[in-house]
Amino acid sequence: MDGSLGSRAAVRRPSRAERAPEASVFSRVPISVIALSAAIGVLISSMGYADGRAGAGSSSGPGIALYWLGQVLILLPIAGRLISRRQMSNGSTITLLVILTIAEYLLKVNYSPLGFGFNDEFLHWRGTTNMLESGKLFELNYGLPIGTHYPGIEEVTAALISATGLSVFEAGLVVAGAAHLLYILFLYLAFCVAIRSHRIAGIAILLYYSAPALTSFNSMFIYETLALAFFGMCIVAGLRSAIEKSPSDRRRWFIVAVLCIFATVITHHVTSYMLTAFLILVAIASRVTGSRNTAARFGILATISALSVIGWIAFIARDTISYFSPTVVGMVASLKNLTNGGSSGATSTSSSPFGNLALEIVGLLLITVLISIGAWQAWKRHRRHPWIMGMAIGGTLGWIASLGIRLGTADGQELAGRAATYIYIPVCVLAALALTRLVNSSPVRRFGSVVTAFVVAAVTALVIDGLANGWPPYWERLPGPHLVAAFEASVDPEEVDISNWSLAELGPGWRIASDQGIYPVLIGYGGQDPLQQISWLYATDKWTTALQGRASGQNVQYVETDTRLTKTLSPNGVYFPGDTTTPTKPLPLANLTKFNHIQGVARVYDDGTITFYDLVSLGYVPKP
Amino acid sequence: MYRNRNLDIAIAAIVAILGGLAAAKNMPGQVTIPLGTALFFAPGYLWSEAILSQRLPGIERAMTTVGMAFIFPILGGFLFYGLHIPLFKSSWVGLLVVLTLLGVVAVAIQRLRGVPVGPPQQPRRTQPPPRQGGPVVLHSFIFGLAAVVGIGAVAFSVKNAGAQKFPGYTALSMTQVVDNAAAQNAAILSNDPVAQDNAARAANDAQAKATQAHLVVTNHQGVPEQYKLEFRQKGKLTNTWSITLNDGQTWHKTIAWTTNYSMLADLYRLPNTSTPIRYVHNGACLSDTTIKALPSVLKAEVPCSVKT
Repeated sequence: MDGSLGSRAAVRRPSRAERAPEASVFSRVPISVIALSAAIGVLISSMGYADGRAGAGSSSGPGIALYWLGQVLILLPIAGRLISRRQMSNGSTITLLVILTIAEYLLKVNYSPLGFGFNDEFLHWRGTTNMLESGKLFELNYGLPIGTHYPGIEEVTAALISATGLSVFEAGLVVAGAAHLLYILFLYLAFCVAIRSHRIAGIAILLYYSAPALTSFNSMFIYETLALAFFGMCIVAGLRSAIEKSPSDRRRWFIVAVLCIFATVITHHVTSYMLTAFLILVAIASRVTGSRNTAARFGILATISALSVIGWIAFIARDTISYFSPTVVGMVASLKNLTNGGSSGATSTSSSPFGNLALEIVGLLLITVLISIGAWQAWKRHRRHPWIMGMAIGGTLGWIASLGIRLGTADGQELAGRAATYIYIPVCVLAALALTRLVNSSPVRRFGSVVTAFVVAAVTALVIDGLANGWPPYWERLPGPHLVAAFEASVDPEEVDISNWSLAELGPGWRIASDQGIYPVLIGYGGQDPLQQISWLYATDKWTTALQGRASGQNVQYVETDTRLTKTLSPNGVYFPGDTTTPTKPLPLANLTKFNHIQGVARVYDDGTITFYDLVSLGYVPKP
Repeated sequence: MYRNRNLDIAIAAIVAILGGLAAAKNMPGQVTIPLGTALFFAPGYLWSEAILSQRLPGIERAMTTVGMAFIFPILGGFLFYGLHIPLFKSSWVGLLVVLTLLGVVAVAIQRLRGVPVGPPQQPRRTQPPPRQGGPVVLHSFIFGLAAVVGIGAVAFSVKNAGAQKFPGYTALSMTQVVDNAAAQNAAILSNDPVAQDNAARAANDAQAKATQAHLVVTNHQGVPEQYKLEFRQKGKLTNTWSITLNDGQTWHKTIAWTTNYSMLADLYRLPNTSTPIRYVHNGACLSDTTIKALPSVLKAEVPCSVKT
């Protein structure tokens, strides 16, 4: 360990196991050249985006090829240098990780460079705008009611906007980008302390990039992105509070750790739970391995974190329990059903291209093998080390749980993908330990640079697996023409203009039935209250008493229709938010045009494709 | 910074005052953005210095600065919420300025007390130092080139996304003027589903009582267009407007509104004045006789012309 953390844990001399394998072509490439390669990679991938925007979208062969070529130019030299370079300083490792993080973040920005495009970002755009306009915390956000009780990212962005005059979009990019970079670097510092080798820590971070959500959900303008930065900072501060030589320094780092806990609890629910779990895990592992001081320090931090979480839920965010209840109940029911020999109801992933599926399966197998070897290495070589043992236990159990969720529950694919952000933290440490051990083993070393090249290629493929099976999905890998009910691919200037029109002409807060495509934009820019699970309203070509009663009961005030829903199926599988049934053919036009002929239903907006109907222009939903 | 130990806190104090003034006076972005950014991060720098009081390596100092800069608005905003101080621009700027000035005092006291600090932590050389891959100037040049290419990629994407072609369209709307702000505010403030249902009902009532509506035409065809808007009440043509709009331009008109009789607006894009391209209505029906008297292309537009 090069000691940048100045920790007692870092004084160990490098062991044989920490040595890199034989030098490869990448080991001689200067980091400045790798930075240039990454920048060119960003440019080439952005040209792929441009090719998609030219009209073909994600079905553009050259565009897809350019995108992945750019990714290879970013990933391969960095992976090659991290894995194969024999002599590399801590500063060089950090520089490589900064290059990797910035390059991937720029690609995320370049996907939608004129405004937020990812659905969840609209929700926080609305939250920040509400806070700036009302001057209040906990302002209602129709699209993300739970988010109103976790206003951390909105507060930070509002403060930055107030100081600089930037727009919500610009300030959001700055906050999300800085928080994402901060998270990666704090995680790296934590790994350095835990593994005692900046080289393995660097490889662990590289492997962490195979987590599907890392370059998408964890770098978007959403509350988790910021909370993760505090999560990482808290881990480092906690570790430093346990290992610093001076009691004064330990106290000071402890204060920072506590501040991070509070900030995490205010910013994001799941991250605060994961932070508590991590602190408990390290406390237990420290106790087991005989590190009483560390156990005591982490025990206190875990208690503070747990009490903060409980207090926040009890006094501020009471709806957190009802928010998570359906997910937890569903997971338990699916797993119970599975253990009883029934079907879990897990969604099939067969809609993904074969290449993505194959890559995913190989990736899962590879990580499972690496975890097994890594756990064995941890037991064999580091059984007295609390953090490594904690990661071995947490990583192994987390991985098994993740596989269970993925295979055994409905929406398991998505849940496992989102959970990977946390589960991959110990997993990638174990995998890095295993990988380093493997490539340094004498039988493998005999083959020298061939093995290095193979390992570099395998790790790059693993990261590409994370990107390919992460977000955006393959059918919107490139920005392009409008797709129906298809998340980012449905956000065109038309949807943005209509949402702005709805706010200007209707006012905020109307309960609107809409399709999945315009739904998040209506929440964000429109400030509206679009409804979930309203496909029944579009399921018939007749306006019936039953429909009228249901619309009246749910207080549906406006209905949005989009004639493009009558022409193609949604690549996402469903047309309407919250739907679980996948249609097999496009909607009949009459199901949408029936609203034209209901006495008392006003046709208030028409742009040739999208139409808005006012169901309550008479003050109530009219009968047939 | 460490050659002149207090230069950093002097700069931070000046930044706090100038940044606060720039934000308060709404100065141009060229002034406000750099000063405001410095003001935003200044509390993080000072308080990480005050709390940790260690000479951390540069990267760790930068990281803790940014991390603390993010933490303060969160905790400060929550404190303001507890004190019932509204979180408007002045509050945020005031919070940052006060935290910076307090941080200046805290760091100054710390340094005056002479808290012993060791030399900056240097990386321990447990692994061999990196080899020099070439002259520093050359590497700096290549890093600079990488930055230019990266920024160029963003600029390229901005320009490319701005030039993306989308299908053109013209929008026509006719919406009641409804003041539901009070009901909405009540619902939002309460954050209560029952209050929101009540607000929805109040909004419905307000819709039924509306006496005015906005007619709006927007051109997004990508080129200037000429339109004709025909407005019919009880099936009779009562108003016609000729409208010329540039791309992105909007035409507004406030009209009297009722649901007691039929109101129908048809938009034509010139030179075609026979088939309307868009139409909106208020949902009221016409008698069969009146429908028969309408031009044939308009008959299907009337709500009760087709039985559902």
